[in-house]
Parts: sequence; structure tokens; C-alpha cells
Amino acid sequence: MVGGALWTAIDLFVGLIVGPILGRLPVPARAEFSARFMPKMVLLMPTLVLMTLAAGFQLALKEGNLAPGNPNHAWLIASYCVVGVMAVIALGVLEPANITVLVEMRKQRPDGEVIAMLIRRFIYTAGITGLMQVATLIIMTREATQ
Amino acid sequence: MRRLPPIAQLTVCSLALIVIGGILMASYVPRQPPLAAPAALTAVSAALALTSGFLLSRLEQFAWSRFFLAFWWALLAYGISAGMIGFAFVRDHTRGAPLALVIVMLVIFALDAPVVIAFTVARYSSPPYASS
Repeated sequence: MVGGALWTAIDLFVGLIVGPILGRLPVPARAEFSARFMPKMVLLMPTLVLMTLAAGFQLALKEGNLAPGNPNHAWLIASYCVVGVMAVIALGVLEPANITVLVEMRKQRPDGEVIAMLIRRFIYTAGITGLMQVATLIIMTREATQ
Repeated sequence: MRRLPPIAQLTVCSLALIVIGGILMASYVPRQPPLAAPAALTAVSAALALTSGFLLSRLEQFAWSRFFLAFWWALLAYGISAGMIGFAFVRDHTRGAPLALVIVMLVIFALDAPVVIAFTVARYSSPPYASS
């Protein structure tokens, strides 16, 4: 539960507080901040996500929520689908772009066009991940109130 | 802009199929899952991953040193992740054919993610973006 809370809290904090502040900073400051911030996030977030998913699955198994007759079973399958969509976006689009931006920023002469193009990926996928966050909240609420 | 083969797209499709197969398998826990659909998805995923690997091996003027630097580190990270997921399945008493299928899926997962990351990193360190 702590893992899930940390995951959502960090996600919202970065998206709603850090992101907009970063967007208003001058480009060199943004690059400087990102070059120090991203390596930590690349280490922290996958670990947190993996631990949360594994712990949540074990908890659901122990509490019998995975049994076919359990009223939460269908909602848990829906949550797997949500996690699946987020995993494909995170592993296939966001993380490669994150690491590439990081590598680009460490070059002697970073290519602003490449960085801008990769950052556009975040904007394109932000809508989908935002929807998935809302879906997660709905599923969690539903499961807690069954 | 230099046109590269659709390596990232093929690998992401392969990854997506593995995720769908994993969801199918996990949705049956703690019962024994039917293996036909996950096995078919895994086979298609493996074919896509192999195609992507083949296309990758034919690339010229590519930042291979950058590719392998990113690939090995990512492989270490995703190898650990896949190992932990595998451990969770073993701990949940998954045995026999389902466990074998899960292991194959995890191996593809542990290879796909580093390939996408390393390819994306290396393509922007290769011509025309940089001299390799």
C-alpha cells in the first residue's frame, strides 16, 4: 500500500508541481535540472512500480480476491489491463525517450531538436497515461467498496 | 531524416504481445491457465523480436558502442525485474508447462525492453544526428 501511495504521489507531484515549474524555467536551467533529476527517477520509478505490482498481486492472492467467484475478480482483471497499457507505454515509449534525452544532454553539444522531438512523445502519451491513472482510481475505489 | 527499419515498432509490438499473454495467464491465478492463447501470443512475439534483431544486425553507420552500452545496463535492470517476476510465479506454485511458458515470456520481455531503449539511444547518436 505504501508503494502504491508513493507511486501515485510521486507521479502527481512530478506531473502537477515539478512539471509546470520546469516548463517555465529557461532551457539551460531545465537541462541542468533534468540531467540530475532523471537518473534518480529512472532508478526509483521502475523499482517502485515493480515492488508495488508484485506486492499487490500477492496481497490479492492471499485475500482471495483472485478467486473466480470473488466480486473483485473482474475488477482485478481490468486493473491488469490498465497496468498492461501503462507498461507498454512506459517501457516502449517513455523510458527509451527519457534515457535518450539524458544521453543527449550529456553530449558536449546537445541537439535541441532531438530533445524537443523526444519530449513531444511525453505530451502525446500523457493523455493516455492520465486516463489510465483515472481508471486505476476508479478500480481501486470500486474494489474497496465491494 | 534517415529512415531506419521499424525496429522499435516491431520490438514494442513484441513487448505488447508478451504483456497481453501475461495478463491472460495472470487472470487465471490461482487456477491452471489454458496455454493455447498465451503460447500463440508468445510465438508471434518471439517472431517479431527475432525479425527486429535481424533488421538491427543489418544496420550500417550505427552507434554500436552507444547501443551496447545502453543495452547491457538495461539488460541488467530488466533481467533483475524479470527474475523477480519469475520468482513471484514460482512462489505462487506455478509449475510445469505454465512455468516454462512464463519463463520464455520473461526472457522475451527482458530482451525487448533493453533493445527498444538501446536502439532509441543509439539512433540519435548515429548519422545524421552525429558521426558514429
